Amino acid sequence: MKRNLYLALSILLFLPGLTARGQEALWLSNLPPDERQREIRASGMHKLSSISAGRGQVQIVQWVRKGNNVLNADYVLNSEIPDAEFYCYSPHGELQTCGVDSTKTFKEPGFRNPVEGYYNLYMIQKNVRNDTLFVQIAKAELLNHACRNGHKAVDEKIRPHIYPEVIPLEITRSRIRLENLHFFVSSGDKLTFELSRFSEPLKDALVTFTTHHGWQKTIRSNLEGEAEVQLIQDYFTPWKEVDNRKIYHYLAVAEYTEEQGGEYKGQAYRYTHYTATLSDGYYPSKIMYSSLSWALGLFLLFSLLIGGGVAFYRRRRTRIYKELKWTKA
Amino acid sequence: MNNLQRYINNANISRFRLIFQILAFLLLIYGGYLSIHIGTSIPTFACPYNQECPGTCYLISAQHQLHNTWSDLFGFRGKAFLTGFITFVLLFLVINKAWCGYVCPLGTIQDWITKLRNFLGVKFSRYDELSFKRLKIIKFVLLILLVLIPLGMSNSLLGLPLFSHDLSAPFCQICPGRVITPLFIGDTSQLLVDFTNPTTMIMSTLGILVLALFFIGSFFKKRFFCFFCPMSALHFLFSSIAFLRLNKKGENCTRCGNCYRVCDVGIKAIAEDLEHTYMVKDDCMLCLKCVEACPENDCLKASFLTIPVFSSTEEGFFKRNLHLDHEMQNPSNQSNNEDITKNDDSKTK
Repeated sequence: MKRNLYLALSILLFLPGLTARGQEALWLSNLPPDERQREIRASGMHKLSSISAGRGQVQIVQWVRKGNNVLNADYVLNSEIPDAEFYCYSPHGELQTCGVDSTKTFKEPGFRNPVEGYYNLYMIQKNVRNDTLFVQIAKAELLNHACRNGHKAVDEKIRPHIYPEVIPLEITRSRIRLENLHFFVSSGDKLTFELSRFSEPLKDALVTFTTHHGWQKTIRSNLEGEAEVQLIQDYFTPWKEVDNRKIYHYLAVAEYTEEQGGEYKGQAYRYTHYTATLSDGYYPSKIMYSSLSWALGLFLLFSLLIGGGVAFYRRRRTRIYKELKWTKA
Repeated sequence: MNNLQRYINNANISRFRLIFQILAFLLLIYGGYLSIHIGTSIPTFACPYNQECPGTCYLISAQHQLHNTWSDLFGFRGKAFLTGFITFVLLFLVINKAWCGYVCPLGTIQDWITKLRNFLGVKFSRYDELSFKRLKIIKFVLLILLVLIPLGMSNSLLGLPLFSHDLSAPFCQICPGRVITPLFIGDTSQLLVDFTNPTTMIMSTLGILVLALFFIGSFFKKRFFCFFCPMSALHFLFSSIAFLRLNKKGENCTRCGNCYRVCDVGIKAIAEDLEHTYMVKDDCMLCLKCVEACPENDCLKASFLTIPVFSSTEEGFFKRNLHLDHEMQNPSNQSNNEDITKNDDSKTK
């Protein structure tokens, strides 16, 4: 009994985020529900879900999902969160219309006719429960790229953008050194998430990382507001079944509670609990389906065969030197 | 003007070419470090698999753009294809096939391999006339496949089922540039065998085979890969309207054969053809070594929009003679194939 009490107290004291938990995380997903599969087309190199918006126009769409189970998370219905706010920022930082069709069954935020670069799509949902204001920020960083549009100013296009004046807690995946418009996260990669609040790094926030197959790891952000996690390969398919084009999805959930009271829609609260989520796709690790050693071995074998073949051919064609001597009779 | 022309005609174009090639190589391999961007329709190998490449070879752009349905190709995507194609042609027209001889990084690497062979004293090979004629068709076949396969991935060709998406950019999958150019920035990610499915396995193994052929072939045969390069075939389609031209005055030619002997790709017509004036053949890379090696005044002439750029002169020939490829002066460095060629030719004659 006493032990349980200590455990409960320690949780209350050292994991403030947990006190405010009890709500399922909301996140934006690129995967359509089964009912919408047939209408959806993959747009651009990063296969963003898109639907036709008539006259050659396309609308990139995302779906709001809830829960930490990436594989089976429920899709949020339009009626479930009627007061959610949506923000969509273009790669140039302009706030765009974020169309959410209220006639649709599911919550489907999106934007039309994307240009090249990263779009930031946010959904903010607030509610008060007990004495805590829950602020859920679901974020999607959506890279739109097609090679036919060229590869100018790559560094500028892939740079992450944040909007602290509107978004209270930002979670961003740090870009790696050689990242370009063709970059895809793969199993085995180290991912770093940067957390910031009002443009300042947020330390000691809990970040829970979940892979497609359910492996989870919870870490705290450091002084720079960074949380690093290795996207481990948590499934092992026989190589014959490996599909290098299959996109898996991860989910990162950052949580942070602060003693910030106030009133929201007539309800007073003492604490504010922020949850920021970010989900993106990843491919199987290259080492699952490709081999450098095989390539080197084959290269050596082919080189020896070709080189040997040329040497043999040359030797065969060489005329034996014959010295002819004439002696005067 | 005459003095300037004389100075150029007496110049060592091979040395100029060597410097130009090194600069072009540095630009096309490392230009990305300087944030240089020169477009997506470059008429030479500028491989985007090398992350620091400042541009994109037109072949990869074309293959991507052709991977579309007929309706898309004749619709808004057709405009993108046309824009890329016109840009490619306009860029190509400026220096004609000198893109191969002066700019192409794969060509430069092959020239370095040739220098290594020279240094090691290994004999080089030439194709006999029959092999030359047969093998030169391969690049046109590759060019046709390069167009048909991407089309067949989105459209049924002659009632055939759609080709696998794993054949995307088919030529790039077997192009040695995809593996070699990233190696110069320390990236080995393209040197692999992909075991995902039979198509990827075959294509990646074929890529490794072509890579081995590239290195071993260009060690024994100068500019070995250029002979099979579909970019060279594509160039040739527009070569006759290009601004930079190589012309020959047949009446000045004594058929000494110097031009043929120094030709890296072994074009015999440059020495034997006395009727035609335009001398840029499908395998020619406009290196202008033939002009340099020609001892007759104005026999061979490179001109840009009819303005003479570099002409063969007796004076220039004798001034440069010491710098000429030592293989030309030392026939013993050539493989027996050449002797056989001569014998075969004499038999046919």
